Amino acid sequence: MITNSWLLFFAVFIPLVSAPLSLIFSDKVSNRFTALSNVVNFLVIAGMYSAVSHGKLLVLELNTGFNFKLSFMADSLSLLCGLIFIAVWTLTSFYSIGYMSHEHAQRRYNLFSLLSLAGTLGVVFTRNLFSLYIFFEILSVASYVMVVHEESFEARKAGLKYILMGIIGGLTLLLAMVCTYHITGTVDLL
Amino acid sequence: MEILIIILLPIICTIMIAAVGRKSVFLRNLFVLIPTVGDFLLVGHLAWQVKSGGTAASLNLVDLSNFAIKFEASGISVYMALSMTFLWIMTAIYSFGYMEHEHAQVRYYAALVLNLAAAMGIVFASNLVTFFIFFELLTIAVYPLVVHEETDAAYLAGKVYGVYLLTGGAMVLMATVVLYCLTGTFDFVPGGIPALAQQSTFMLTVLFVLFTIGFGFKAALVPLCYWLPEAMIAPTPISAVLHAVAVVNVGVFGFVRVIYNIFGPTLYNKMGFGSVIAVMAAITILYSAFQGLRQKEIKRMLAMSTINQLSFMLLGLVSFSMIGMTGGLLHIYYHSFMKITLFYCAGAIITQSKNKYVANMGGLAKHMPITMTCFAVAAVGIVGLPPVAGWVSKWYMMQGFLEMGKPIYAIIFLLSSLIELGFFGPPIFRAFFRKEENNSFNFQQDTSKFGSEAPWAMLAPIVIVAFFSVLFGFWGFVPHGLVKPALSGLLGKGF
Repeated sequence: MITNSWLLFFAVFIPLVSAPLSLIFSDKVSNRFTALSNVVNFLVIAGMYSAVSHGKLLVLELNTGFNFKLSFMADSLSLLCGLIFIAVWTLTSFYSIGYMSHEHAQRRYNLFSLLSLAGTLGVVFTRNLFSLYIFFEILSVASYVMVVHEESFEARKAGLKYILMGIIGGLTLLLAMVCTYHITGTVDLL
Repeated sequence: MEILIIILLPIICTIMIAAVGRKSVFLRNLFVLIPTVGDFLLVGHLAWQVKSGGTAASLNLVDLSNFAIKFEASGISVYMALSMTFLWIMTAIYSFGYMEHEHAQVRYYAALVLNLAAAMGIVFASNLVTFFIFFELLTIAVYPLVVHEETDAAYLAGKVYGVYLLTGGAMVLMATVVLYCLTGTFDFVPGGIPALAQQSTFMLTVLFVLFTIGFGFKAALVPLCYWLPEAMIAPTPISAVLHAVAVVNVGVFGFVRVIYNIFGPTLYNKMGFGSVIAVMAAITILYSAFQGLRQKEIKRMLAMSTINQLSFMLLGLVSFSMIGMTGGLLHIYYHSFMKITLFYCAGAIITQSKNKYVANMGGLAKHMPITMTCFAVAAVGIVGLPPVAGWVSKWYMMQGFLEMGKPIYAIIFLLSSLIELGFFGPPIFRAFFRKEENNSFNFQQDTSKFGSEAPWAMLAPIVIVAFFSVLFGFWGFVPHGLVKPALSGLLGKGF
């Protein structure tokens, strides 16, 4: 049974919106704000559990004006992955409050950790390849910044490898999606 | 009526700027803002009419038997005009900040506003003669802006610019004459001028060569593109609005008119002209991508990227599949917003840090965080990554190549995207993650938190156009909704 649910919207857009907001606070508050945002997000995603466990398919379609829609879904697989990710991310964000307290560029770290989370959850909850690609690339660009966080020579070297692989992979994926659409006439997953 | 005002308002204001500009800065700025904002509102009104399916406004200024100056607000006209007028407002505001301490400001603003009239005349023209008149006006009115510096280098660049683009203009004039001799009409006809289909292969080839050389200069196809990096000596707002948006888009727009309204897609394809353009565009894409890697100056690097992206649009337009052409037209729009962001940022960097080399940008993000963030966002879009605008149009164009049966162009797209990452990556990387090297910056003020950002008149346009670049990445209503009427107006019923 297919049901519309705005919870999906909040699951993906809470980290996306809190990401720029995490910049406006001081370092200390920003770390706690990130953790809080993740807790709220965890509750939102957990809120989908009962509906999905009763065999419902939660969907959400946002019109983009393009030929493709921004569309999300939560079936049991994506909810399982989503719950694992958000749980681990929430724990990590609490851990970071302590671990990062003496690091440089803490707000940058928070910003891109939230963006990575948005990318991850977007990929998990996506219903077509169009939105998958958007969030996949948000994820790879955002996590690059965390790879080079140290700004040391090793970090930069690793970052270069990471971003090259990420972008080559992403562009190949784009071509693959274009081919999929060309052959089948659809990019929907389910 | 609206069209007449759209074109006359900037011309009148040019005269007013020349008359009162030296006496009062306030009046001068007022006469810069009136035509830009006024034109934007009027074009917005026309766009609304086109979108809601009303009859397109048209205007016959002169209508003799063998000569006519005619305008029409068709779908493609308002599509082009909407982004241009908006970016002109942004550039006007940006210029207030950028040009504050420059010499010859009255000349600068007068030429800037006159160019708006020329650009509007081109996009609203509904026959080739009108198009040509404003096409030449644009070429000539840009010249004083290219030589604005009044240095030897600027005069040399102006010479290159003049020789290249006036040659292009002459070719278009010849093409116009040939076309009139062959068919007895100048009018743009949706789906092509029917009388042209009966002409001999030789005459059609002559016409094609003339048009391609004529518009190829402005669209910066490969043997004709060398003027564009040279013209970067102009003040940065001019590089932004003219050499990333108006002049070069007009070159592509010329191709649009020739392909769809003069030859018609069917004839163009049958004669094999489409494949010729596609091959030229592919060569341009690869050439400019590799050239971009070699550039040391930030503005010349952006110029190479512009050459690159313009050929993307041309490739999309000659794919002759609905989705590919949609992608080509969309890319005109998206590229304008992203590239103008990059140029604005480059201008802010150059004026604030007195440094124009990519290699000296290390640690810049500490001093100019907002500017560099916008630069990074727009660069991500140019490379073609979501969620910034530009990736959807690339998707559409790649789709078009598959439907055309030429997947090789899709692979060239990906390759060139990757190479562009190679020339946008290093400056962004240096700015954000490297330390400042041997005091390369020469900031006027202190380097505390936002102390080194450009003044608000420059910063506000940067943020606004960067915001739109991101918005267009997943919110397609504005340009996408206008592409459909634009394409149906261009192609007529037969396609």
